Amino acid sequence: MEDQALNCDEIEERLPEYALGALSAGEMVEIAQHLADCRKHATSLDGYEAVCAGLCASVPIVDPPLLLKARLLERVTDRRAAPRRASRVARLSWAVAALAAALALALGAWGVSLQSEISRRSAELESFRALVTAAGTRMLPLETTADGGSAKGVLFLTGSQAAIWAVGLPKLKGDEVYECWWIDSADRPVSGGTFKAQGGATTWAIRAPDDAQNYHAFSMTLEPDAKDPGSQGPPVLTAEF
Amino acid sequence: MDYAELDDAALIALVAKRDEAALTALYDRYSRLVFSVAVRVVGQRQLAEDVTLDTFQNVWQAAGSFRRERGRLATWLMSVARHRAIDELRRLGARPEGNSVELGEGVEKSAARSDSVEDLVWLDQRRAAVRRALAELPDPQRRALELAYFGGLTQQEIAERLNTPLGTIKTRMRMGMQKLRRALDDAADPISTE
Repeated sequence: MEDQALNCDEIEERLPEYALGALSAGEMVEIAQHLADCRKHATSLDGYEAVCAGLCASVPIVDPPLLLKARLLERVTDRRAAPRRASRVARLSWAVAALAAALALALGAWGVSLQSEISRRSAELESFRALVTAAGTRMLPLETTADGGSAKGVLFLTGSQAAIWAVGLPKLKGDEVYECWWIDSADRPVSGGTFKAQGGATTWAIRAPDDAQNYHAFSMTLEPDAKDPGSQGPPVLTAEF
Repeated sequence: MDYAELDDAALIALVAKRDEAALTALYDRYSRLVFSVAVRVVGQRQLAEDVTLDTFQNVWQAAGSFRRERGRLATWLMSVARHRAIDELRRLGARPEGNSVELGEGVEKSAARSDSVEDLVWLDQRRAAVRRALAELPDPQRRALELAYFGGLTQQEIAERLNTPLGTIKTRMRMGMQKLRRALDDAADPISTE
């Protein structure tokens, strides 16, 4: 146990461990107090803190899950969201948890959209909720194309009902709309309807053909003109069944 | 306004004004980095998701307190994520024994996605320089740094864990940090420009 305060040389010697946070609580406090009053160590401390930033930046890069952004938006826009600890405790088996998560995330994303459109879209919300919770609903991750930028999405499909959840779609300009297409065995596209994304997370119920099982792919395109049903812009999200 | 083209300072200023699109743009830019740091510390994806959410929620709530002159946003985010992750380790009473990924390992991916060229270049340069330097560190020095920085262990705890004298751990840590610092000083974008 040290009876005297550390001098500048001793502080300087301990800066690497201080920057790493590897000293005892007492030492950390003592050095922090010294640094608050003594500018001699500023350059050295900056250097070691930069090393620490470099350590962080050097970690192997892992992609976060697709739907994590929707959960973030849910958190920051919905103050009624349940505390994180409670949801963790409630984790169920993998399969049940996956379904519950899909529902929670999708509904959360839906909640974001509802902020500005709640009355118009309440019926669609119910449809989406019913679809996602229905037994046998398939959840297909959508692949992002080169024109899709950072867009990500999931297609929910059961029988002749379908819905999509998407985030990061490129911003629409002018008369642009997004259009969904079902691709049949002869690679002919059948429209599933158009929609406009307002930014952030988006969910939309879309039309699915009665014989959806006969279609092998799904595509969402960015159409330049909402009034021109025949045109077909570049795909931004796609899925193979 | 195309948020993806705004630099970090502009985005964080908008986040401070409760601009959700700006928060989304920051998430798009740095979520890989934050999530990766969280995975590195807690060693599992599910916990790392919580840490990532906490980190960006912290950004949402405390964006107004960010000061560019005190460092880059990427540095701030990494620091928040690491501290939050270590808190989680401590809460669980867990220690980083099982975290199998070593410093500097892993596939080559860009840590951040950004149209802000300066921020991206700075981060990638920093990352490359530290990786090169880490590869040249003796294993005991690298291990000591790893346990301290990503495990949240003190020197004393590291000494006990490795059954090594405390003085040896201190020496390893200091030498390792000094080598890394020299490597960064020599890198193209010196730390003094921060």
